[in-house]
Amino acid sequence: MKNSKYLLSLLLFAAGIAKTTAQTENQIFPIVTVPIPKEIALEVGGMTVLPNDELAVATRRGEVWIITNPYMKDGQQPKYRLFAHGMHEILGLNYIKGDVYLTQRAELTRIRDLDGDGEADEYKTMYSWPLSGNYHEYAYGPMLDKEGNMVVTLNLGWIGFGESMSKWHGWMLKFSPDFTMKPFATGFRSPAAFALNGSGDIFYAENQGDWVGSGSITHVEEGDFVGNPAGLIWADQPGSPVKLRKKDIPDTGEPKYDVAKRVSGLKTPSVWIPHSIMGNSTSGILDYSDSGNMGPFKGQLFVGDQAQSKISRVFLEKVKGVYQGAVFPFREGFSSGVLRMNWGSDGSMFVGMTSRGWSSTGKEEYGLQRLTWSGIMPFEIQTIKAQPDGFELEFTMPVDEKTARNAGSYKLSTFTYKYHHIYGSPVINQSSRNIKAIEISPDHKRVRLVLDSLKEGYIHEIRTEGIRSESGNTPLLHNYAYYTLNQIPNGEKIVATAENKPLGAMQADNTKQGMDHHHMGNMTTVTGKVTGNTAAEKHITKQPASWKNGPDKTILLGTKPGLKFDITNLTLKAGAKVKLTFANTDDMLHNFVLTMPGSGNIVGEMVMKMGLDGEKYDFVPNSAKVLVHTVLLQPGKSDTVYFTVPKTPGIYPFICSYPGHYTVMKGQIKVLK
Amino acid sequence: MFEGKKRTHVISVGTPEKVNYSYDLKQGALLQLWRGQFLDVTEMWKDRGEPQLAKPLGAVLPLTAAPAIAALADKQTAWPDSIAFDDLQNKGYVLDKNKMLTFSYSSNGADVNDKIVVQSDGAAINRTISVSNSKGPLYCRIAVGTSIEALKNNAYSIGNKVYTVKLAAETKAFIRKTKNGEELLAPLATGADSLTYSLIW
Repeated sequence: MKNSKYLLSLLLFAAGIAKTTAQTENQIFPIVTVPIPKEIALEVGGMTVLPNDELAVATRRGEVWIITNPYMKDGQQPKYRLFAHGMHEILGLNYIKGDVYLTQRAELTRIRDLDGDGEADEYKTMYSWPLSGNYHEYAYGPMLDKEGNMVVTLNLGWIGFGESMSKWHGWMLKFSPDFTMKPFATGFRSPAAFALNGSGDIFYAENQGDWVGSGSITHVEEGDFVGNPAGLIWADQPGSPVKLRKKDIPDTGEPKYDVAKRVSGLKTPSVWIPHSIMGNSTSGILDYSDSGNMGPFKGQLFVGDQAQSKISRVFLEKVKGVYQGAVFPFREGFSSGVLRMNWGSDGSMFVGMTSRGWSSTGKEEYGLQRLTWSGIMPFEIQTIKAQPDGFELEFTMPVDEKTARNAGSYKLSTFTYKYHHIYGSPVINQSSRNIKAIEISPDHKRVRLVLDSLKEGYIHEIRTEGIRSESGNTPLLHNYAYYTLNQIPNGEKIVATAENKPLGAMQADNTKQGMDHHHMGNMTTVTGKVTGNTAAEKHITKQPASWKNGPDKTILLGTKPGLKFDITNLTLKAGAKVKLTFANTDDMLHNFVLTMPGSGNIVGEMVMKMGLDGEKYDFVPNSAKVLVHTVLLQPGKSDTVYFTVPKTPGIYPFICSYPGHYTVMKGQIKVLK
Repeated sequence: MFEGKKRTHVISVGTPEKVNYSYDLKQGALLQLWRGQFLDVTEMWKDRGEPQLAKPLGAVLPLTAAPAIAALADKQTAWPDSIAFDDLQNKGYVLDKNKMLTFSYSSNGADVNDKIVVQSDGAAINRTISVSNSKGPLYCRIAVGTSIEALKNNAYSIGNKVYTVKLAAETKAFIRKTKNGEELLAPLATGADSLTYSLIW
């Protein structure tokens, strides 16, 4: 009964969409590609706009390019000029007090053109830190804080787990104007980006990994420990403001928020960015200041994602002195892995990209694009503010009262992640929330949802598929958001009355079957809900008793850096008995999924639709197109499966179905008669 | 990699003369020289850049990983193998009109400039080491090898004719024995002093 009702409401929504014109990201926020000359590998690591309106771009190959007219004004092509080169993987570039500063792996550097010939000739080391030589010891920055110090972060190395192999890796460092270094905070794993919000507070972006259940942005203050214990090895060094030590950090898999309640000094994210749904690898952060012109979201933060080639939008508020807020989808479809964002002088957003070594949804190895606003008002949830008894949603345009008052327009649930040394986390403690009352403001731009309960410390998924605009009956450009509720505000609660009683019933509770989420953008080939695989016969880990003579063939499959299987072509005989061991020697999560002929990409796309449940099902969708799979493997782990090669000859693709990996991490089995 | 060890603060410089060198910024050490193609950076620029190695594309003349400048208690004190990370402040480098580099650092209480110029015919490199603000006498180790032989005109053959160094006429260098061979040192006066030599190979 429940299911048929759900289907019916889906059909109704589909009919509603057909009648009106849905907004698209393309129409409202057009992307302009800045052409890059063929001979330049513009693997963007850092960007800054110079006072004369040129754009300076630093690359992972250690170059700094200066681009004149990146806006292509008057139909003219941009001009590229090499300003500096021969540096070591620059991942941050900034123009500060009249000088160009950048971070290389080993140092904070100032570059100057002393003789005025347009090329840097002084490379001054302002501060140098040790390295072990591990490839994962990235360095980012500098950024100027509100007191005038430069801020730099140092990545952990990777040796099968994150490790601080040399001093100050896993730390945020501050440099006074005379370049005296002060260690500021630790617990960082892969702090690829940080920025100030409008109040001058520092927010940094973290990537899923060990001790990090999902990507997030976190408010960083002096002495904070933000989660990965590796950097604590230096916490007893002179100048360290961090009181915690490695032994103080429990490894219990409890939610981080719960651990932080008893471990003073452990900081939890301001806003979680749910993994695989909102992104895989949180990257650049850009404050929507007066320099930008990107629609009605001033004061919010834009947060990039390298793997999913997209940008999310974050609304922050302070409740009881603690930052929290909501992350919304904003714009997808960039050409490569989004790493850096900067405002151009015309209010457009430069988006600098690189995907080398990691895959991204945008297939280019690198790229430079400019995001613009057409001036068309997007119909979006502008803000979500926590209330003592629920949330207040503010919309960019008045909402249709009938849909806004209907409980069936919404779906709410709460969940969180495990805090432990293991890489990533499944979604845990998931449950749905019910709406008790709905109040709509007189101007129809604000909707207050009163819930049965709020869960402090949890991520609140807020889905608003049914909402329509008052004029035009338009659906939302994006109809879901994730609010991280660190604190429940005090204040008056709304009493449920006949007036504010919701119309209709909430959408069926299908949270246990996985979440559907519709992409309103430009990449939908698989639609609707995808659930996880529960067919045990696709994952047989003991040799079948009927295999009297053992397997006909034993295969050892491994990984190579840069999202690759070490074997990509296998030839097997139809009906052969195979024992396959997949060993994940990489630094990310991977699995092995054998698919029906021609179905590698289809299965990969299905996984993107598994929503919050993906990891619980090892990112293996419930589909006849999946033949065999391993579990999702932690770095350094392996899984052995037994299967019989299909009887029909053909080319059977295999992929890693971890979200986004399938496009590059793939191979095929040729089945012969 | 140098002497089997991954060096993390090294810069390699190539020139149109196809004379290339590597320099350890945290030791003030001229590590190696080679002629021909510059570097294979596959292991820094392919995929994630593992294992972070740049490989010279030519036959390398290994020199030394030890610091060029040291304060010695007396003439018998052994030359240090290395200087601690925090005891040398590397300050970067400046390019001249011909794009030749002068490295700057401070160590042993002195400010040091180390200019390396490739001779226009590519036959040699000229190295000028200048110290200023030094609080006491320092030494510069010009060369180290299994054996060092003094030639005429203030020139020396290093390691049984592996390479030759030629000092400016006013530089007073001396050879001394080490555990494994010999080394060529020159004193640097308190305050400000400098010396220049050519390395021919």
